[in-house]
Amino acid sequence: MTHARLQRQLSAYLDGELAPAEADEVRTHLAGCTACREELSRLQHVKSLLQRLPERSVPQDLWAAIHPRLGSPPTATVESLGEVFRRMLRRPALALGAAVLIVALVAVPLVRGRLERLRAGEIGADLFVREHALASADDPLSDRAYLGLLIGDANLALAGTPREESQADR
Amino acid sequence: MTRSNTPPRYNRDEIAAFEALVGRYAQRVYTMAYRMAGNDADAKDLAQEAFLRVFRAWRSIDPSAHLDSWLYRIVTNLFIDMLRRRPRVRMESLDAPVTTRSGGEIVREIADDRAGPEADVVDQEMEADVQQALVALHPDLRAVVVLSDIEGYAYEEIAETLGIPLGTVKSRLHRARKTLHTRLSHLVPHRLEKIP
Repeated sequence: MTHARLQRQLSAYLDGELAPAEADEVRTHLAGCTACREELSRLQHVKSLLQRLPERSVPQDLWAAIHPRLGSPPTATVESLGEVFRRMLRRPALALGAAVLIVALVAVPLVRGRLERLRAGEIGADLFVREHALASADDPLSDRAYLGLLIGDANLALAGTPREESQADR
Repeated sequence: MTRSNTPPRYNRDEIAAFEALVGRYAQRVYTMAYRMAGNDADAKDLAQEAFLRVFRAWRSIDPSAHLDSWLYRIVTNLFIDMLRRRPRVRMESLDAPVTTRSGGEIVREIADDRAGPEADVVDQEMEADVQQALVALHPDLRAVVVLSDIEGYAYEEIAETLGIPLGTVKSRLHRARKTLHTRLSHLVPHRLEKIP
């Protein structure tokens, strides 16, 4: 090991966290290296300083502050929802952005769906499809599942227009 | 977020157990939180939250589990969460010089050093200097040095607690001690000591 690499091992050596072979190597190096011995001594002093920091006195009202909060529901979902809400309060810009995104995600398909339905109602070949398309365009939320079928049906009528084609052929 | 209308979920025995637990661990939990956070208000918040998390999980706790190490791990993680949520917390660069309250000019020797390193706690003024140097450390370094030198954890436990590799614990701790030494040079004698 080089001197620099060895010096980086000194903290771990001090803590007895080196493998026996590594520790031996450091010990041998220390015997002949004043700089490393001094470094080790400094590290030891810093460690000792930290070890000798006093315990802090606990605030008198710690338990009094904890006790009333014990009744909070411990379920994970409530906890995380509360956390989400708190986070929203902390970052209003982010929360606003998220809200706009959610509104857009809900509104865009709704508006588009309504337009599709109205169009399908106008051009739909099938009476049932037309009736249903117009009815669900008025109240799209009541008929979300039908949307896919409706668009598929409308597209079929539009793209295929087999009846019109066959009429033209005639 | 107080829900005063919610009836308490815990029975009398449990609440008595919680109070006893706070009595037993509060000082160490609070001290650790204070060393990491550097102020009383944050330390109190961290300690409160750590205990609450233990109590909320009380009924699913393995009775043979080491509650204390779990508590300290919660405090550490809460501290790291707190720093992530509050990026505006003033963090000095690792190389920024620190001016001590004593002006940084006075060279003091550790008076009771001759009596052995663990002989006595440091005095109030020294504590304040060390705490200031700790708070000036990058939080990643601070967490490692607090767990190692103040809490006495082994490297492997620190690696597990912080979710970092053993080699990272080793290098961060070494860097933390070297940085602390630079900032606390007035408290650490430069003379060569006898190596055991």
